[in-house]
Amino acid sequence: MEQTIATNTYIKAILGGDPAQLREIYRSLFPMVRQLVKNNRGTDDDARDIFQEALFTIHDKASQPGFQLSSKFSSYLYGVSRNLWRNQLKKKYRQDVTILDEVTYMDDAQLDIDFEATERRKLYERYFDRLEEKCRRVLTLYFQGKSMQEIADVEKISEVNARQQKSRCQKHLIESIQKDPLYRELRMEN
Amino acid sequence: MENKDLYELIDGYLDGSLTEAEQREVEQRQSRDPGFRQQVQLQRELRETIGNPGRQRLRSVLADILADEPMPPDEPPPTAAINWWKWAALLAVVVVAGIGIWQWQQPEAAPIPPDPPGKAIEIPPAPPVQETTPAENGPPAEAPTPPTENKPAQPPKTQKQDIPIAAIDPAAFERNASWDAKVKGVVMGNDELKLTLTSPPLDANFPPGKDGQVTIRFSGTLANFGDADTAPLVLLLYDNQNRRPLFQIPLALKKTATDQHLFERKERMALKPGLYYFIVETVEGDALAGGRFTVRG
Repeated sequence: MEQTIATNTYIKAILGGDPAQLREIYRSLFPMVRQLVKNNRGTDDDARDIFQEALFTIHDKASQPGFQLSSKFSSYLYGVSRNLWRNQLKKKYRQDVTILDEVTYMDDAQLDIDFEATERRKLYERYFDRLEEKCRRVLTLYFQGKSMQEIADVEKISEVNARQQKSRCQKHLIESIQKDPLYRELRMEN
Repeated sequence: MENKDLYELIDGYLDGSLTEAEQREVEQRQSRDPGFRQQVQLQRELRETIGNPGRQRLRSVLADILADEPMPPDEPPPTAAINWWKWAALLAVVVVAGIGIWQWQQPEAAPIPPDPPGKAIEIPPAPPVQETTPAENGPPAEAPTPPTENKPAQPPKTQKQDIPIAAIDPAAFERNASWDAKVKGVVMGNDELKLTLTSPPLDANFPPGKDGQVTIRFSGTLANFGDADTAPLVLLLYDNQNRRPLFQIPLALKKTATDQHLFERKERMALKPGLYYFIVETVEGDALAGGRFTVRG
């Protein structure tokens, strides 16, 4: 029962971005992820990247309707991290690799991670972070579904000006992403 | 159609603000034009990613946490019986083989001498990396190793007063027979691949800088590799006492114009004064070559 409560608390913390709980997740579970990555040819920086990616992946999964977690949160986090790291090693070494494990983890079949979508999202965020601050504000509001008039009100500019800024920033963001060779590698063929 | 118009058309489609005819046209175009389909996909995923307030809040909070939380200390070695026994068995084999080969190589009983530089691993006087492929090795200023890197281990000179004697653990400099055996070429080798290390020289000493860090250039050439452009090799760095590597560094192989394969990697590391060993192996775990160096002021 305690396990379920902790699991639910951690999932809620991830969905709600609760700073205190997320810090607790980091302090109690990052060492496990770090051990996994460092035991398998990774560095501390790799471990931090994988830890973040794993929480984003869990966030996206837990946001889907009907999401249910039947295992311990730590097993789930380890399983997701393990899969993400294994996928990175596979890409780096161009062949499958054996991961050395020291803990039990959730069965891969239950995880169902779309690695390419995960990497595309990371790529989008990397280029978004490089935009000037005004562009980030305007596009965030736009991508959240705000109307041009609402964006104009928040930014204290005219609606025409808001539309022009949105178009300019969006074009710059999309063209930057499309020029990246990784995007060409990752883009989805429907 | 201009790109700007394209973005707005797709935005309208994703917003659901197009007319029914326009909506149908976008759907039909997606089914026959892969480039257009990918454009729709990109704009949709941007909304789902950047426009997801929960994900963006999580990203912001995590960035703050990672910025101010210190890296926790390494966990102690695992106690899992399977891993322990696997390593213990491997070590026993290496020790026995190492002692056997060591004794076989010695002409007569004598105190253990220091290994002469260049004996255990093949180190030509001038690194072939630079001789054969000058164009691929960067500007000449980069090529020479710092003078201290090429010297064999020397007894501490006058600088030793910079490091408090109590801070130097003599045990950190004791030779480890099993690692010595590997360095002498008793690697659990791959019969086909032959790796020649060109840097660092055997028993080189690296005095730590003011920040306590050392910079070491690892390089070597690989024979009999074939035509692939890159290959996965890993360098594992050990101290003289532990079986678990301190670092694992992936090494990318480059094929040169002269059909050689080489790697070169400079690493800046915080290493305590002591004796260190490194092994270069394939991702399958075949050890190809090894080296030994010290860190002391």
